[in-house]
Amino acid sequence: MEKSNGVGRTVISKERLRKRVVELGREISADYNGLHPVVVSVLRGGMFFLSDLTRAISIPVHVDTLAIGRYPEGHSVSGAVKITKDLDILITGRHVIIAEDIVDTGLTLGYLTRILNNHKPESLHVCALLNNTARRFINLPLRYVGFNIPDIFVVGYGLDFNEDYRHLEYIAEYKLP
Amino acid sequence: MLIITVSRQTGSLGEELAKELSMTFGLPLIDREYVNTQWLSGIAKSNQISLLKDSPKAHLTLSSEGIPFYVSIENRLKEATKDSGAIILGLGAEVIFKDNPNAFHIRIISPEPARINRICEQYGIDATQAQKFIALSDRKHRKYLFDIYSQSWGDNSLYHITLNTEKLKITQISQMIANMFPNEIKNDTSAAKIDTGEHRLKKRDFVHPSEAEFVKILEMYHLEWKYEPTTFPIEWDTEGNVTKAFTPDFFLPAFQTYVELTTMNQKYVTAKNRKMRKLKALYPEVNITILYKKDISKLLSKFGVL
Repeated sequence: MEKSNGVGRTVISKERLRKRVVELGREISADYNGLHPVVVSVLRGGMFFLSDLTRAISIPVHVDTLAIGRYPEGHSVSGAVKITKDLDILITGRHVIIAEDIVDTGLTLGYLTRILNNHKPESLHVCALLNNTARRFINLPLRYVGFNIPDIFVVGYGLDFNEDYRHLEYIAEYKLP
Repeated sequence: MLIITVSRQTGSLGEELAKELSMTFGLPLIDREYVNTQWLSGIAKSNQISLLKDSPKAHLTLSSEGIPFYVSIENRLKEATKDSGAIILGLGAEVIFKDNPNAFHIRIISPEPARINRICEQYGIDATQAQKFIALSDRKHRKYLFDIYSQSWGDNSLYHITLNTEKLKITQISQMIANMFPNEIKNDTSAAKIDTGEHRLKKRDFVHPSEAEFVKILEMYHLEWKYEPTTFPIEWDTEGNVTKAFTPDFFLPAFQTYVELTTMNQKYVTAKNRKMRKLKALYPEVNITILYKKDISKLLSKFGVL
């Protein structure tokens, strides 16, 4: 696939991504055998990961998504995050796995876990494709990690820059303008 | 020429009592901090001062006067109290002035639960941390008296009165002592000087604009935060007094996480990193993250706060 302006070196190739996601799927299948988990991801960054991960899981799973947005300018809490698409599946008493595209500061994941814990799931664990710890200040346990990456801005495989590059089949470094 | 010595268990309100007595009697308060800042610089080199602050046994080595440091300090204490009297907190003064007819020796104690509660409240730390703090500080008090004077800290015969502050207010005790020595009360209290409480937490506005910006990010994610709610003691002097403490900027209760922001240039960050390492060593259960200048800039930029 042709690289676009701003997209730098490949950080994780398509082949490595595929291999690791399959491994994660196997691990989850073994750990959740008989538990019928719900795998949840956040639109839109996590959609490709969710799709590949759940297809690599060999046990019965339910799949759901939610979306996070910001309150618009002029609102009393403008800029604050909010759920713009809630879960469709009831997760109370269920074993839930959050499939996150990337965890860096931990803020989004922290917000998500608080929201999901309000539904009182039986268990709640995180499967992060990418883990950048350089600026982490909210430390939450990541049960599954695909790749630890350095403190660089990355795009591809769902991750974007101004909505571009989500479609790339690999993870690439993006040089911010 | 009244000399009142106050020996105390950590968290028993001994420091508070010493200050109150200083005000009540109009007498100067001499404590470890006073000795370190006023006297040691004249008789010790800088590397010796560091040792003296940390090790009781360093007091057995020779000062620039050619006599052991503890003797130099004793001489200054005796000189300082010769004409005016004083309130002396710690320093082994109950032994130094044991036979002085003008000296009155007080020991302040409290049951451990009360002491733990006070330390929790004073520093904003939890009960387990407070218990460790008390154990460490008391050990230093005990060791100083034993290493220098071969005396047992718990020897009640060293004291004229032992007071349990669990159910007594400091003002009540101070008044009680004042009633014992009514002729010693001076109207002029200007001689009383004290404030060793540099590590006390004060409620204040944000120190740096970046902290206010950081709060904006936390609030974007509806995160509850507290500003400087906890002060962790990280260094104690030879007698168990807190000499250095670390107050992280933020606490995020939902994640039991402290966050320290540093906007200083890298060359000044070393000292803060050292403090962080000490904090982590002393309180391994505490979850704390430091965000450096470049991290904060990136974060603020990412969230459109800059």
